[in-house]
Amino acid sequence: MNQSLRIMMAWSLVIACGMSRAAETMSFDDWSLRVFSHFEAAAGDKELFSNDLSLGESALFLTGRLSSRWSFLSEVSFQPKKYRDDTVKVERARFKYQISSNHWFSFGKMHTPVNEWNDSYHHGRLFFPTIERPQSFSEFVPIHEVGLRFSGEGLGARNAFYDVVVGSGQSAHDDIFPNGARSLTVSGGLWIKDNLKWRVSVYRDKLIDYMASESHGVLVDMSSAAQSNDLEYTAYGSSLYYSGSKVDAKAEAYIFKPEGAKSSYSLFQRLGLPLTANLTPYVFFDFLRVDASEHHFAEGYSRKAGLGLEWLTGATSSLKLELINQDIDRKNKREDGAVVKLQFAVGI
Amino acid sequence: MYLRHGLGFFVAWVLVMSLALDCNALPQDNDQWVVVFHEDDAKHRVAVGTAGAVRKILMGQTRYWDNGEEIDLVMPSRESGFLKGLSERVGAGSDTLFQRHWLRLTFGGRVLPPKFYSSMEEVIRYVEEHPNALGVVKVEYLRPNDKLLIRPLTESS
Repeated sequence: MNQSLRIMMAWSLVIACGMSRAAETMSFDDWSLRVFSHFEAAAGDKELFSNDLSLGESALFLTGRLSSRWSFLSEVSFQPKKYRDDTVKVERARFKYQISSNHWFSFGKMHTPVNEWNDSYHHGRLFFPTIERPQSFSEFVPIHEVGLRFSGEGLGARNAFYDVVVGSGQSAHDDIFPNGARSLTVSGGLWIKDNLKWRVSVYRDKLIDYMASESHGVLVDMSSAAQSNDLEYTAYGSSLYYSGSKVDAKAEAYIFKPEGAKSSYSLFQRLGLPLTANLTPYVFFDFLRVDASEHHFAEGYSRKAGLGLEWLTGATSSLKLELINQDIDRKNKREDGAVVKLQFAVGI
Repeated sequence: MYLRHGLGFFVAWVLVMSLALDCNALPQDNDQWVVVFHEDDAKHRVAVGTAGAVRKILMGQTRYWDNGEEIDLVMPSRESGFLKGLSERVGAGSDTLFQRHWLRLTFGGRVLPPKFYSSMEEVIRYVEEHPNALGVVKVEYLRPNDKLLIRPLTESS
């Protein structure tokens, strides 16, 4: 029985137990079930996108109270075999216990709080500020983690917050601590103003047999032999998000520092200028640079710049149109071109 | 390379913040919005002590009463016809953006969604029946009730 199936069965059991518990003591007002999906179309330089038309991930999202202190959240995504090998994936499945008004712990599979994007938008294209995630998500950012998380927020006058995650590490995939606690995330920040949020984070992990890593397989540079089959690395992230009535701006910076190599980094910025409540033109810039000394990722840079328009067709649907220019100069790929992309995202 | 991108990053943010400095004024309409909550207010006073504190509750930044119990937030739904006015009052921009804000917070996993009811009467009734509830209503819908305490939604209400 494969790992995904085991997780699916465990997830189903949790849902069944949770729903029966809810039926005994709570109303369905305490549960929320939604489906998110998106469709995309692209045209332009063929080397820069995979499909002219594609059905994106569809995610089944469930959250609810199990008791006054326990709650449950899950996100399961589906995508046809044409687009990915695993048609069904458990993206998140976690229990949360509220210790006090400002502190809680949770355990299960979660999104790693290494930056604001990953901790807020998850797989919901409806909420993404741009059609695609920043480029760093395809390489440096550890998106998921199975582990134990301690969190707090609303601390002090600036609503400071923190997260500490003891995780199984990226090499464990969906297994629960198969090699003990391998990774550690420490993340924290504050609201500088009511609409300006700042976060910094440190993530440390050890990739086991990293040359065979599936998660980064496409960009593994096989020609650079490593001293060891394992790779310890530390990553540093910082996010700055501003949301105003006339301007909204988001910035993500991320540094990847493996042992025995120099740092690689990425910067993402998006600036939106809402014309109306539902219509926002925006510009974005996304730069990723991998140092020549890097063992794991192919050296070089990738630069994306784009103009976009987001139309909120309703509270639960949106249409984004982007004109993107991309310049890639990596050891394993060189490409320079333009793409027009259209995305319709919906939540039901 | 680091210096050049770092500098670009910094300059972009200075520009953004300069543009943003005067963008936070709330619209000044005449809606008389208030929040109502249960009479047992010893635990509530700080959480709803100021209009700014109330706004933080409505935007999901404060989710617990001072005694640590969860705030059971209740609002009129879009179908009630009042959500647009409420959204403008709290500075959320529009009812679409306000709903979307809460949907995003819920999806983010840090909060459970507020309850939306299709009439002011239902909001008030829910608050009367649930000690930890906090409801948002227009003042003209309130009837004499010594069980509920009232606070203005914003300074100008």
